[in-house]
Amino acid sequence: MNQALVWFGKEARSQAPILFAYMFLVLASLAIVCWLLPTAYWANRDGNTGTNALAWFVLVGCVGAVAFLAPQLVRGEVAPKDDQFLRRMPGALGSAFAGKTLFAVLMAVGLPFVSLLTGELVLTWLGSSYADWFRATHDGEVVLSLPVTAAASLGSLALLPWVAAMGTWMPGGRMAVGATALFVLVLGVGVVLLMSTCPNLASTLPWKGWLAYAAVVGFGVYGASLRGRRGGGPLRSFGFGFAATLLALLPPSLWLGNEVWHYRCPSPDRLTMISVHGVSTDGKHVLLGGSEDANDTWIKAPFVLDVATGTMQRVGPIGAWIRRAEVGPLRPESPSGAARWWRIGAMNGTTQLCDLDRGTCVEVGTDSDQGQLLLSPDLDRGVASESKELDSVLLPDGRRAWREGHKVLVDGAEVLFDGGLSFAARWRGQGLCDDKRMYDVRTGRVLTLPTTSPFSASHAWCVGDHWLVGNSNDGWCEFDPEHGVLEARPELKDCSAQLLLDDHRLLFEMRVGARAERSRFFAYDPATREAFGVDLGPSPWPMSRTRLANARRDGRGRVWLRQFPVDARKGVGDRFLVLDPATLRCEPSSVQAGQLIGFVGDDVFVQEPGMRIVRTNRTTGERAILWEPRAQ
Amino acid sequence: MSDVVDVVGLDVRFGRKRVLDGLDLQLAKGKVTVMLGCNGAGKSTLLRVLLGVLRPRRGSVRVFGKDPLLAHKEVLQRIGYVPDVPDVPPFFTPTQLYAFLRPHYPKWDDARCSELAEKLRVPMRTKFKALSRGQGMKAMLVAALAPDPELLLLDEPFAGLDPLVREDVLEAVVSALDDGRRTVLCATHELELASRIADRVAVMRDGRIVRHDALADVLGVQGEPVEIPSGLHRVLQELQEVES
Repeated sequence: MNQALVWFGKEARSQAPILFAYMFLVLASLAIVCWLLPTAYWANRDGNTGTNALAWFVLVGCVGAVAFLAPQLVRGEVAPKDDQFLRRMPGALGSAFAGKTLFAVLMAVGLPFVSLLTGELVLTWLGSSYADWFRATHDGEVVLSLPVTAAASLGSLALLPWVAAMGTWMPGGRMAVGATALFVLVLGVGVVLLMSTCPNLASTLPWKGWLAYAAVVGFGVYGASLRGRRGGGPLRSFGFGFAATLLALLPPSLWLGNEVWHYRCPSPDRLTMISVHGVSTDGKHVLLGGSEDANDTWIKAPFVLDVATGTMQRVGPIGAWIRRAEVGPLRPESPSGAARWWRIGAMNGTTQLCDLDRGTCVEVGTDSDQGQLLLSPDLDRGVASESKELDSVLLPDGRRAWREGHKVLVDGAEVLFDGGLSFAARWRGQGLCDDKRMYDVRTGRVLTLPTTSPFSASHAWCVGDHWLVGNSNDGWCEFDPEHGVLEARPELKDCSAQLLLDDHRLLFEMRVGARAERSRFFAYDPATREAFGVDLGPSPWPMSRTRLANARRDGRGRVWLRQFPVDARKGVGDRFLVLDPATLRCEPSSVQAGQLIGFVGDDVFVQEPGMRIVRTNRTTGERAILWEPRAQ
Repeated sequence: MSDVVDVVGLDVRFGRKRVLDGLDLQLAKGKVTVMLGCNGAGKSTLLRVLLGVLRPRRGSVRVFGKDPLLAHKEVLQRIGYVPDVPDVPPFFTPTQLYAFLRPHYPKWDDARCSELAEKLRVPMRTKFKALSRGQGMKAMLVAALAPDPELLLLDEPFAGLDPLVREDVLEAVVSALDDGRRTVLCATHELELASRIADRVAVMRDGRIVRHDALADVLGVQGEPVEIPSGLHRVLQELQEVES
């Protein structure tokens, strides 16, 4: 202890002049700059506080510790030509390390603290506040709220022992800061490259703990490097220090590797966050994306859940997108729900076709131009058949229309449009629309809105012979294709179209309330311009908006609505209403809150309430949890 | 009785340059050995190896029967060392240096230190960077002798000193011999001064000890009066002729 203290004293005697000179010159310069420059140049953006200036004061204290003190721990021993004095002192390496470390730690705290105090004095003298340096928490506790400059400066103190360690690796202790910067750069580039393969992973990792670890093991590396001075020079210190560095990097590397592994290869047993995309038509398999991140910031990987056994299998890499398999270049009308054929596309360009009824996936090719699936005739027939079944539209005359590849078919007969059909066109009621044109599938006519129209063609809905165009902001009009004019429909003001009912009425939602916070539904007949109100029924607690559920129609053709509470924090959740299109009456469903994924048969549906997958039989009330996270 | 220093087959290289090449040296207790050799012969390197400052590439080094690298503290506490140039922090005064050294040497003797410093007229409150070469050398000699070392290693202690200071240093060294209880290894070019303290002479060439005998044996004139410095000159000249 006595020896460590004499080395501490020697270090203090060695470094005091240079540190004092540095602090005096830099702090005085900063104070003069703050005094001479108008406040607007250095105050915060709001001009009220000098928090930023205070952060700069802290910065110079930290720079003093890392860039001046740390290299001098090594260079101070070089007299007159090498550090022979340190090396020939009996048993001095250990006590020198202890004394120097004690000095470094005290100065690492002391220099920024002195800078901070000086900054506070200067700012107080200049009449500038630094009150927002502190922040009150919800619990009433006052905590430091450091600006980025100050936080980064204090974080850089972790480099202090590394600068000292690398100083021992360099002849004469020169270029220690540069060597450390290079080391951090190389390490940082490696970490950044690794993190670039795992979007959002970095923000979920507890870096602060590893910063403290870096500081602690930095002193270990410095000690090992100094130990290399026993009978050796910089090269031997490098050998010892580098070995210690590798050892020090091992735990964070293993930890980071483990995190990256769990990110990129999530285990079915450790999933904490899921988003269900669909369910097979027989309800035996569920397709979902999952990750091991409880904060839902990691990219998910696709999984298939076998409901019978509860086993889950990963069927693609992270970042793979999932949607219902399509025919040709067209996207399916409904990307989720209950279906057999699913398309899983990986970021590396590979594509799989998932037969969810069987729970199997096969890799398939895609067209390089439009990305459409290249399937064998059997698979193509299966996918086309399902598309026809799920995405077909009932026309007013009772015929069914659907898309198949590049074509639109009405009861199997192809409809030809002038100028062809745009790939971007999607069903809007009983017609198709893209941004510029509307397509009447009964006549094959292609319609365009007047150039003076404030609407886009994509805002149109076709109901029989009527083309309603509009939205909740600009109001609604009916487009007369014969004369090319728009006629206002003021009764649809503040409304948004939701769904075409089987009786050729369009279901609208109207936002009501002082802040348009509630919903009212009605069915609108464009032929008679009559509106038929939907009775949402009483609600047990104040509700705000009501929306169509993810899975909109069940096997009996009923429409499912999801209603959200005004204040979810009061222990009440959202609820489901089942709308009978014939009577326009809603029944509250006993289904618990959560995403509705799809219907299997008439009454069985699959739901994702929170981080669980639940199957419920609405008739019998039978409820089975298909999957839930395992306790970690 | 075992030797204080026992070096066998010592091999030290600086990069590709071989500085010590299979050097053998044994120092008996209580003897004063003067190491002679041309510049670059490896005298200072040998001393640094004995101090545990340098790690040999090959060979065995034993000081007091122990490896100075492994038993560094134990060995170094028994050694006093005077470098050719003071290697202490330049901002130290001799007073600060002695206070700094005291905890490192269990046998440090403050009284002896003060006595020697006074005798050699060491300016105690002047920083090393302001001391003359002679003053610095005296201060370092005090630092080396204060812990009452059993082995004293001197690296060119008389080089560059004016005659008066040289006499002071020589006197201090002679008085430090302590009636044959202290072993001394002194590397020097000062033949006349060396001859006044040497029991034995070790002559180094090309990283080896080529002769290591009693002073009279090296001179080759046993039993006859001889001008010792000139005799040593002759030995060195012979060596140089062999080299050329």
